[in-house]
Amino acid sequence: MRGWGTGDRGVGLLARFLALGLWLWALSLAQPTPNTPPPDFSPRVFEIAGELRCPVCQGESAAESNAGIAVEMRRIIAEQLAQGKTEAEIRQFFVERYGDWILYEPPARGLTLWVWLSPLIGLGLLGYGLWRYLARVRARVQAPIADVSEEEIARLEAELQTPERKS
Amino acid sequence: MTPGLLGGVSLLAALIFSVMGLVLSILAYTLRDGRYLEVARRLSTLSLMAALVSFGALEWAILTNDFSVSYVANHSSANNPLWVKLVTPWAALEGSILLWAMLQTAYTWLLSLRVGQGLDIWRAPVALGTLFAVQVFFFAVMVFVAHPFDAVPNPPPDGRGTNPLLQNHWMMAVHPVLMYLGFVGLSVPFAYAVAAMVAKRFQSWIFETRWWTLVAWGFLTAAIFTGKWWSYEILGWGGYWAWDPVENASIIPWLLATAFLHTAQVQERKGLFKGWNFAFITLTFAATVFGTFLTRSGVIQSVHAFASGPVGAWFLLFLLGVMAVGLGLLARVSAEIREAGEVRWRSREGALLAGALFFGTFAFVVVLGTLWPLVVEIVSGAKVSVGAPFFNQISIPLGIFMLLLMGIGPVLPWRHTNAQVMRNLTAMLIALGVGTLLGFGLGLTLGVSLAIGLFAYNLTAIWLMVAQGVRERARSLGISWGQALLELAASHKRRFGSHIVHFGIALAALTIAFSQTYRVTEQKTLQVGETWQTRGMEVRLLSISAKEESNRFAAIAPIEVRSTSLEGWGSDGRYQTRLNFYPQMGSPLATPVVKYSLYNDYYFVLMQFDQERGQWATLKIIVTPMVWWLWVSGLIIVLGTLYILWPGGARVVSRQMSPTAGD
Amino acid sequence: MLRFWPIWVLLLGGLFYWGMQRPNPNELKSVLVGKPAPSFSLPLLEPYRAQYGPEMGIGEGLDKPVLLNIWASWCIPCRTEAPLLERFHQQYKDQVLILGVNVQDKEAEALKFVQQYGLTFPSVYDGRGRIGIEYGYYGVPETFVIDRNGTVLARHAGELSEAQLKGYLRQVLQ
Repeated sequence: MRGWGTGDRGVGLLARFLALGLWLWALSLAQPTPNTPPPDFSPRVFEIAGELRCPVCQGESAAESNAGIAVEMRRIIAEQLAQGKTEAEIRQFFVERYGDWILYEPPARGLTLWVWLSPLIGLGLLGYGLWRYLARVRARVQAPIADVSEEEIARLEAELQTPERKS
Repeated sequence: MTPGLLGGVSLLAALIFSVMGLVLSILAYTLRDGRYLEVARRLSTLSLMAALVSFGALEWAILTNDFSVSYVANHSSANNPLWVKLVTPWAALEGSILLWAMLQTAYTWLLSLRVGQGLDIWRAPVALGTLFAVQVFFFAVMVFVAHPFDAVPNPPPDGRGTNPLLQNHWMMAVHPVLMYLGFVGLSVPFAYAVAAMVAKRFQSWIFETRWWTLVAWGFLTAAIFTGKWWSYEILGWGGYWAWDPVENASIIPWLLATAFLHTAQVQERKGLFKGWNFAFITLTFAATVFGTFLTRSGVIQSVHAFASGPVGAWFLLFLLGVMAVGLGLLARVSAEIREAGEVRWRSREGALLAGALFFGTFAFVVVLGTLWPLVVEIVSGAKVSVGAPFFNQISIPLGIFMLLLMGIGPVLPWRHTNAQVMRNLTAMLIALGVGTLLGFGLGLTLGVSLAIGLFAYNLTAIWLMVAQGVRERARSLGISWGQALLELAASHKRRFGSHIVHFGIALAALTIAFSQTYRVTEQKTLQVGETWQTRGMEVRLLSISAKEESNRFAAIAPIEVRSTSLEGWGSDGRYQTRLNFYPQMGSPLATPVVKYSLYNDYYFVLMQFDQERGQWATLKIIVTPMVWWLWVSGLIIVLGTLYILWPGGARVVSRQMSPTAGD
Repeated sequence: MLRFWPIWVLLLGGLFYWGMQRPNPNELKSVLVGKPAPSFSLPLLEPYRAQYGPEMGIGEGLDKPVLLNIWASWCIPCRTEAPLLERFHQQYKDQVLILGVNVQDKEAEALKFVQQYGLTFPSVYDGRGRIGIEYGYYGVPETFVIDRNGTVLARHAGELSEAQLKGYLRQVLQ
């Protein structure tokens, strides 16, 4: 069996690695990884964790992050799944402790209802703007040609002379 | 002369040249004097040279490990491999602004070459002045708040090192440069638009900026795809798009630029939609600044954010300035803009406008979703998150509408619909139905089935358009179909290029549907020698070992994978899964090993290992279908864009451009 | 709508300005405030067992208010906070219980930390940080102020200053 120290560069390297590894931890005061294996996780665990926010991270989900707290969250999810809890119940567990903030999918109520409506709002606003714009254009197109000032005609003619416009 | 001194001096010179260029442009405009304009033109060359020298000085300082330069001391290390050193200038805040500013001077210089040819004396000073103003901003930010060449009084023996996430993949050398080329490129159409509004020449800028916009769009697209690739191969979570605020910040300008690209065609052909195009290009350029602001102000949490600092406030002012200039000018002249007619909805212009409407809506949704947590906090004090599950769901209906319109648009003629068009549309709808049913028949989900249907629908549309054109030409000229196809493709570059791009988009949509729906993640701890049967694979952990590299330490756990059924097809091989330990980072960084195949992607990540006896390792396996095709689709889109831009066809296209010419 | 462009620009500017001037953009309010503190009982770190027994925690019927401090040996702010907590413990130990919860840590490292700062207030060991999640923590150090009835009065995220600690004590001793 190949294990520690029988890697490509021998025992000396292992010792150095461990020594340097410890130095690294000491220097950066990093969160240590415990030397016990984490539990095995089914795809379901990652699916649920992907919808929860990792509390200590800068915008990563609990499925992506390797921070200790995210690992623990995955473990909690796995345990609760094993107890037969539904996804909604598991999410509720975290909401009770962290509030709606923990959900990457904002609830469709209250202030966050508006994001769910945003496609309709956006389409409505842009559509209304377009409608108004076209109505104005129509009015202007129908306006008598006498309204066009001398200056404007001069400008339009100058623009027609632009080199790129010539075929 | 030290690199620090050279860099500082050239930075100051670039700022002074930019200020002078701005002043002279203003003088040229107000006094209507071509001599000032001529000097301003020359100044753009000088500022480009100064920026190049400054950037070169930064590279020099990094390559020679000159830790008396603050940027090098903070973001580089003597142990970094050469390629990491070469890309270090854009690995952190100050250097990225320098790269940005340098690219801006290059674009300004390119624009200055157009003065006199296309850019007339009324508009040239305004366009040039706008870009000089942008330059002034970037150089002022560097000189006053984010100076890359600040002197370090007691230079340390070694620097603090480069962000490990950026050192882990060569893609990081490419992605930021492409992104900035795209972002900065959009400043040129914006400058033209400002000039058009000031000089009240509302039509011709659209012809002149066509290539500029497409070039910027191409870079932006390439940047987004390389970013996805980087994210997929580095971040170790098996996805390529997390809807992180910073990713959103890159997609917003892309969506708006795409909308603009399409409505610009309506203006080009029909002289319609002039006012909206001004608004679209203003918002597009503002969105690029918005993205920069988000990444550099710390206003919203993100994985990709640079360290925040005083730069945020500067970028905010710049963002508001850009919007104020664009929208303010538009509000002033909008009453004078005359359209060349009315919109007919059941024609190509109608489909293009509807498409732009959806792109605009999508951009609105992304902006609102990204900013909403801030709005909720200001209104109620509560914190909420709007993330990937939300955006993924909301982009499904929007995506469907956009794919439907993408098929219809090019099929509809500019004028009236005829019987041929109706037959084509019927064929496309049949393809949509058959494709969707096929998906259902294979037992796929509704979304994925629909994606197959939409792919078939778009493929049919492209096929019909190309085939009918080729048939007509072959018949009327009496030439073979192959020759007719080649001739058409050469003479209608824009149209054929857009077919290629649209095909790429349809393929990308299909791969996104598959990969997002059927991604599976699993994790298991294996003893050395143990075998794990999963997803049609047999995974065996061979050993665990340590390795020292110049800039990091690595723990390596080689595994052997054998496929045992069709599900695991293409996974066979030996892979070195590894955890990299960087001195400047608290926790180890997992570098996934990715095995692409024509259908599934196999993704192996070493999560944890027995540090004491080396007897076990925890592996995460992610299986995702069709990701390889996503990269292919990105390549197709970029190649299609290149095809349109490739010189040689320009003459033909300019003939096409006249409003009377048909397709 | 275009006519009102200055309003849109100013609204956006105002939103971002507000977002940037927040002293701590990452701050997250606790949903536990005003609610009963989750109960738990965890093994004490070895040095405290003689005095306090094998386990400690929050449960029914507290005999005095509790300051629950979540810490870890690798956390830098915890290093400046520890001596402060120790001083307050010496001063107020009859009126209030300062209870440490060591999370996401190795026990040996935690013991070293305790020894280095001579901490006499009890700390329990929660290697994986399960209790931290029960309390909805999002980093270390974090301090929960719990009154005699077991209700959470406040949560402080990050390092405590002396004035803040005094303020919380006053609040809990009323």
